[in-house]
Amino acid sequence: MKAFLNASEVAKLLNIDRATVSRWIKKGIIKGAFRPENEQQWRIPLSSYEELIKYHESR
Amino acid sequence: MKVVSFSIFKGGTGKTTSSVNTAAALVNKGKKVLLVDLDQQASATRYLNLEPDQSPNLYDVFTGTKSASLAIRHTKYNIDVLASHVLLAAIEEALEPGDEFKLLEILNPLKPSYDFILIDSPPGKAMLAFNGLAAADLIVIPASAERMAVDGVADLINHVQRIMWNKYALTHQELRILFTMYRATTSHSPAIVANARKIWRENILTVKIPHSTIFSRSYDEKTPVSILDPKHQGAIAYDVFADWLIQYENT
Repeated sequence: MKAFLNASEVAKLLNIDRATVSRWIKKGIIKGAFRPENEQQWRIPLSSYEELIKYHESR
Repeated sequence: MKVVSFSIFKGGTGKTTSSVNTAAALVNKGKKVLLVDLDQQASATRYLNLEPDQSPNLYDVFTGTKSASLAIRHTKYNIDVLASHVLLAAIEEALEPGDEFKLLEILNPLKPSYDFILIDSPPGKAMLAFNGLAAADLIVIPASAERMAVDGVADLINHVQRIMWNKYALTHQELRILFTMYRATTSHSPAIVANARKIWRENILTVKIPHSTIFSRSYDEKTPVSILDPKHQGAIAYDVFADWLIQYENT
């Protein structure tokens, strides 16, 4: 089981655009996300997704 | 001890109604029952009057924050539940090919405490549904007595027999078809069942669940039919099915 989701997976789960996910990472709304060196994809911990869904639902 | 999975990839044919009401019928007969709500829509969780956005739930178990035995919630109907949560959607994304036996690993330590573990599987061909299938000793396919659902039965049986049994050592598994939403007074429902019997023969259970608004009322009032109206035809049908399961468990 993956410990991290990438931006497009999170976007799919929340039904938002992938660009929104990237923006939220840069704004610090999504915490704990990182991009390993030489890699294109964000890694978003499942636990961050938990917090994010609360944020998304409260909007 | 048997793990029974209510599975079909098609939606709306009675997976949740069957798993909840079967659980209630088994409890009436003095059996210890755990209901596992694998569906992120959390219908079975709501049916048993549990809040689907509270902890503990299956999400906590899959992520390892809680052990399964500590995540069990008790209901006033004496059915124990591993509840669903909207976050199960994230588990669906996080499960990778090869993770088909995650649920079985979760359930294994709980088996000694129960006579039956019933799994309410989600619809669709995805990892959580496959986990529900892989964990089962008996796969019950609830099919509404209409053409579309019968095609769904064929699809599921093909998947289990051609893919899962080929890939994994699951030859102990058995499949049974439970017809739901059966209208005895029409010619359509009996014809569908008669046709299906030509193909799947003794895998079709003799008991059929009648079409009735009692099940909608039962969900609405968050009370299993056996408690809402024990003499109702629908309650009796699940009672008969529970008897069959108990006899199946003993053989």
